[in-house]
Amino acid sequence: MKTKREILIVDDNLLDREMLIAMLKDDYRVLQAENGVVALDLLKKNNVDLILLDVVMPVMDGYTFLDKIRHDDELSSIPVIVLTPDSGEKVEVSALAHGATDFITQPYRPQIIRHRIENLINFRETAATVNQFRYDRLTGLYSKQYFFQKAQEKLLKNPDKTYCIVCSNIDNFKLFNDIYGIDLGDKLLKEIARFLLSLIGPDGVCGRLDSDKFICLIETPDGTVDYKKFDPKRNELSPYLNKIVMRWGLYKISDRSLGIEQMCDRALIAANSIKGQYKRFLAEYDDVLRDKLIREKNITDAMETALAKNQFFVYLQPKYSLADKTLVGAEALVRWYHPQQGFVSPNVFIPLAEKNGFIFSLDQYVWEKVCAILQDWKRKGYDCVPVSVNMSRLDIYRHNLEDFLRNLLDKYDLDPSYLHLELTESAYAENQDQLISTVNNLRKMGFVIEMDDFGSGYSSLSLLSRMKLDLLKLDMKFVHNETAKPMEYSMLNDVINMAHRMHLGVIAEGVETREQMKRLQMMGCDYVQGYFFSKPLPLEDFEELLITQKHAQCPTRETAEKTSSDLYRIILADESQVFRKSVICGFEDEYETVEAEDAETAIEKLKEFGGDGVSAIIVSMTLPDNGAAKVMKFLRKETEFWNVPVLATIPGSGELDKLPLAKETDDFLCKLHPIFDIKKRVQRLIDGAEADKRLSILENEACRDFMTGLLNRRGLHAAMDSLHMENLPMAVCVFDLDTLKKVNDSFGHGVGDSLILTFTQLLKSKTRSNDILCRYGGDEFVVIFKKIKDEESAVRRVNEICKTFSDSFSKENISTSCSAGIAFCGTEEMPTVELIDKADQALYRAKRDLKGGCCVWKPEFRIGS
Amino acid sequence: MNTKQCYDKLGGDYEDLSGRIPDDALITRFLRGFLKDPSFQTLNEQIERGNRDEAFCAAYTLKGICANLSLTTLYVSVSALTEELRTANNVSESAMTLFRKVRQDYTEITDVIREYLNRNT
Repeated sequence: MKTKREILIVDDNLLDREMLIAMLKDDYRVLQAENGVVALDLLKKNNVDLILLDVVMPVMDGYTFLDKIRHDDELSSIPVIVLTPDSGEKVEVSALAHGATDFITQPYRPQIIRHRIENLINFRETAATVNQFRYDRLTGLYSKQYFFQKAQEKLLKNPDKTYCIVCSNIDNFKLFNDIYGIDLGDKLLKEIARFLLSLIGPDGVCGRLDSDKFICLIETPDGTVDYKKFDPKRNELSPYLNKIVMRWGLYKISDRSLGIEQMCDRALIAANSIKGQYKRFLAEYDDVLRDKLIREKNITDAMETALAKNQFFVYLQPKYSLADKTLVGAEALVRWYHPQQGFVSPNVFIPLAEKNGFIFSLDQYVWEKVCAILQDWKRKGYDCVPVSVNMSRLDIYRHNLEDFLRNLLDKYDLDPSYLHLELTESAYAENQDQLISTVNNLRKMGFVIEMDDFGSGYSSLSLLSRMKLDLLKLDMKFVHNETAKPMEYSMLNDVINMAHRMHLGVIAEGVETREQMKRLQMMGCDYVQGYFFSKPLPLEDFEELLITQKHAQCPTRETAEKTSSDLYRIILADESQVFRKSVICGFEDEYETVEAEDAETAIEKLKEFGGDGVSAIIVSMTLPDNGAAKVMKFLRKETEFWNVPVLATIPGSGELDKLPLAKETDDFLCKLHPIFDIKKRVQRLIDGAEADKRLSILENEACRDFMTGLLNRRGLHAAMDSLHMENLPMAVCVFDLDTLKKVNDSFGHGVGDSLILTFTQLLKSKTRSNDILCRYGGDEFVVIFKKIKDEESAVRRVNEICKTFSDSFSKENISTSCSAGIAFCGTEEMPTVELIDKADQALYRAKRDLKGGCCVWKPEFRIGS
Repeated sequence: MNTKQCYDKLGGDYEDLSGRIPDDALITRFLRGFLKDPSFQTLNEQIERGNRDEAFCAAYTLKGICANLSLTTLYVSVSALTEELRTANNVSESAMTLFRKVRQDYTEITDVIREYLNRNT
C-alpha cells in the first residue's frame, strides 16, 4: 500500500487551513502550522514532501520562512506552493524570487490544487533520481560521468583559459576503513570533499571518481599550480587526514583534443607513479612519465610475440652444498633477448607480465623448457641434478595447476623430485588457505617445495608452520645485511636453526663474497647460490659444469626422510578407538602409527608392510574374538616378523588372567599408563630389536668368507643347523680346485685369486638362490643342493660345473680343473653333518682314482671299511 | 432554508462554490468557521487604530476567505479596500469609506449565515 505523501500547510488562518485540509486529507497526510516557527519545527521532525505557504503571516512572514528553508541543506529541496488571493503578478514574482516553486490563488480549486501538488512532488522525485546519477550521494561532489560532462563543458566555454586536472589517490584507504570503521571512512571522504571544494574555488569543477579517488578541474590563470596547496603539512586538515597518505597527480591541459577522460587518466597515472614513495605528495604528468609508459606498453606488446619467436631463454644458476662444495642443483631463470631492444631485464618485464596476466604463459614456457632439459640430460646419461623453477604469486591460484604439472611430468617422463618449485611468500596476505592446500597437494605429488625470498617483506612464521616445505631460501638482501653484521647481532644463526628444527634445508641466495660464504658456513647453512660461485649460465655452459664437476644429488625428500628422524612404523592393534587416537596423537612426531581395530586388520597390515616395514607391534590382550592369540600366532609363524618386538597392553592390572599370553610378548604394559610411558617402552623395545639386528649382521659377517662372499666353514655349520626335512632330497657336494696351488706358484697369487673368484661366480650361476654355497678351505668349496630331484640331476650339475671350469682359462693357457665328491641324501634319511664327510670321501676317490671329475659316494667309501 | 437559498440571500455564488466543494455539509461547517474567523475583527481594530500594514494584512486575508467561500458581495468590497490599502501609506479617508461598506456587507452576511445555521441545526 502506497504511503501517503506528507503536506505541510503553513497558514495563520484557521479557516483557510481547514478548507485546504478538507480538500487534501483523502489523498495526503496533512500537517498544519500557524506560523513559520512552528512550521520549521514540524519540518525537522517529519518527512514533508511539499509545503503550502501563506505569505502573509504575522510572526515570521512567508518570505522570511521561505528564505530560511531555502538555505537549509535538508529542507531546501522541498517544493513550496505559495497561497495567494491575488492573481496579481507582483506577488507571484516576489514569491518565486524568494524561492517558491509555484503558487495557487484563492478560491481553491481542489482538482487544480491536487494536480499541482502531484506534479511538483513527482518532479522533485525525478530530479532526485537524476541527481543520484549526477551527484555522489556521500560527498555531494559530481559523480564520475557528470564530472566529465561538466568539465568538458567548462573547457568548451572557455577556450582561452588554461586549466589543469588534479587527481587524488589515497595510499591506504582500505586499511583506514579496516582500522577505524566505515563510518569514519565516510567522514574522511566528506572531509576530503570539503577540502577540495575549498581548494578549487567557485569556478572549479570537482568530482568523486571512485571509492578513494577524487578529481578536479582547476583554472590556472598563469599556467602554474601552487604545489604548496597540496602539501599535507601546510593545509589545515582534520585529524583524520593525518592518518592517511594522499597522493596528488597533476596534468596540465595542453592538448584539448585529448578528451577529458584521457586527461584524467594522465593525472591518475601521475598520482600512481609516486604511490609508496615516502616524501613525495604530488607528481606532474610529464614526458619522462609518458616515455616510461610508452616503453612499458612496447614491452608488454612485444611479450607475446617474443614468446612465439623464442626470444626467451632459460639460464641456470648452479646451487652448491656448503659442506663439500659439490653441485646440488640449479635455479632456472628466464632471460629475454629482444632483437632491437637487446637485453630486457627481468625486473622490468616480470612485473609487467604479472600485471597483464602474461606471466602464466611465460612460466608455463619456462617449466616446459626445464622439463625438456631434464629429459635430455637423462637421455644423454648425465648425472642429473634437480632444477628449481619459480612460481609466481599468480600461478598458485591457477585452478588446474596440479593437472598441468602432472601432464608435464608424464610428457617428459620425469620424477617430480627433479623439479623443485620455488614460491615467493611475500604476496600471500590474501588467500592463505588456498596457498597451503595447493602446496600440500604439490608435495603429495612428489615435488620439492622451496620457500623463496625468505627474510624480505612480511615473512609469516605462522604460514611457514602450516605449510609442509622442504627448503627455505634466504633472500639476497637479507643475506647481505645479516652477514655484514657482527655475529651476535645477526639472526641468521637462529633462522637457520629454526629451519633445521622444522626439518627444512636452508639455501642462501645472492652470495657474492668469500666472507659471506664463510659466515654462512659457520652458521650451518646447507646450500648456496650466487655470483661468488657462478652467475646464471646458458644451457651449454651449465651442461659443461654438470659433466665436469663432482656432484652429489640434492637430498630429495625420500633420502631426507630416511636420514633425518626415522619415522618408525608401529602397528597398533586395539579395540578402543579412544586409545588408538591417543596413541597416534602422542606418538605423532616420531612414529607412524598404523591402527587396526581387530586381529584380522592387524594381520592384513602386517602383511602389507612386511617384517622390514614394521618396527614394533602394540597388541591389546583384550582384542575381541581371541584376537590377541590370533595375532601372536601369525607373528610366530612368519619368520620375517620374528625380530619385531611386541608390546602387549592390558586394560588394568586387574586383568591378570591375560598375563600368560602377554608373557609371550617382549613386554607388557597396562593401558592406563600415560602415553609417554607407553612411548618409552616402545622405544626401548625398538632399540633392543635394532641392537639384535646389528648383532646378527655382525654375526653374519663372521660366517662369511671375506674374499668370495660365500659362507665360511662356520657359516656352513650354522646353515646346516637350519636344514630340515622339507629341504630333502638334497645333495652335498665338495669341490676341489686341483691346479690352484700350481697356479699360485707359477703365476702368482693374483692369478690364483682370479681363479677362485671365477669359480665362485660359476657356482653362483649354476646354483639356485636357496642352495647353500660355502668356501670350505683355501681351494675347497661345498655346495648343498636343496630339494634336488635325484642323484642323476646332482651328478649332471656337478659335471657341468667341472667342465665349464676347465674351459674357463684355456685362452690364457692356464690349466684349470676341479674334482668333486657328491653325497646324496634321499627323503628317507636325516640330513646331518655327516654328509660332508661322505662327500669328502667321495672326493678323495675322485682325485685318486679318476684323476678329476666327480664321484658319488658309496657306502664302501667309508674310511676304515 | 437550504444552502443555496442562504447563498442567494447573502449575495454569494453557490454554483461556483459547490463546483469546488460539492459537499453541503462541509460548506455549512465552513460557514460556521467563517463566523469564528477573526480576520474581520482584526481588520476593524487595525483600521480604527490606523495601522495601515496590519489592516492591509487583515484585509488581504479576509479577501482570500471570501474568495474561497464564494461570498461574492463581501469579496468585492474587501478587494476594493485591499487595493486602496496596498499602495497607501496610511489608513486614508477613502479607505475608511471602503471599510464602512465592508462592515455593512459583513454584518448582513453574517446575519444570513446565523439564520441559516439556526434553521439547519
